[in-house]
Amino acid sequence: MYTCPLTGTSVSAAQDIIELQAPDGVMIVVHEVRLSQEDIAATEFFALKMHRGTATGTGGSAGVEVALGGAGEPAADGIVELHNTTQSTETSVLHTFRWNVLTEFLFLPTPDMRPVLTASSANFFIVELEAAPSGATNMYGSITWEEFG
Amino acid sequence: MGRMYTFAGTKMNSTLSDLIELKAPDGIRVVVHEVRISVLDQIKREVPRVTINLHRSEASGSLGSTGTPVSLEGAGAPASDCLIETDNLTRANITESFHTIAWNMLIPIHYFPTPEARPVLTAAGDTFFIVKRGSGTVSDVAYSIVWEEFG
Repeated sequence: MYTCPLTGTSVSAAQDIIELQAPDGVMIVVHEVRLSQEDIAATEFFALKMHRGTATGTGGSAGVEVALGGAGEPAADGIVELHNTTQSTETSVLHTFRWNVLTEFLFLPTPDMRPVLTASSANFFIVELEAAPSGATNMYGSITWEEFG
Repeated sequence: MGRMYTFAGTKMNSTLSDLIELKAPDGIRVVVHEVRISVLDQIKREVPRVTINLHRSEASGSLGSTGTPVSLEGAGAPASDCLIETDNLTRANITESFHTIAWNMLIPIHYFPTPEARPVLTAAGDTFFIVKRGSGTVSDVAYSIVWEEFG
């Protein structure tokens, strides 16, 4: 089990907020996504989309993957990028949301409904912000996943 | 199943601090089950926010208070082996960050990970679990942390 936090990066444009890649030979099961924002104080709805992709985006930064099991756990094989403004190539859409940003966004699927990534198919899981917010805001949160292989 | 403990408090310093510090001592494996934080005295109608970071650390902070864990299993249960400190003004370093939150204080935080996603502390690694208060609105809060001990 692994997690990767967001770090309060300022967001002012449409982008792939989170991109998680399953490398060759590794199956990934997405357990949880949490998002919150710091600077918008009135009700506003962010258009979020969760989709698979076939290629990485660019323009963001590498995430820091952390093993939830602590010392002795192997490093993650999954690769996280955050805030890619040149977005990935979308293939299949899993979910769309309108997030009221005054609250925390929590995606916590039941075990049967957890998205799976394998290297043999579209192996990128993307949390996309579809349109720019009304103003720049610092974003926080995390993605948590399980690895096999 | 291990031994279940909780600790609850009601304060937040007016300057940046580690709201909760939980230490796993040698030989004890700790699994964090839950963190709750809610506001006590914030009455403004606009959205007050404060950043919260849940992270590991390799060393303790200082200048706070010690806390006494409470067993969830009641009379006859062994005392916790863990050490709690609260409101450490000298904050612990961040070695690995699990989760960050820009908290809208009008709505309580309920960090309640699934069994697979619970953070684990072992004596062989960074043994401190920290709930760090970052920048933002100041308010007293009520909080609690629940964890399980093995060993």
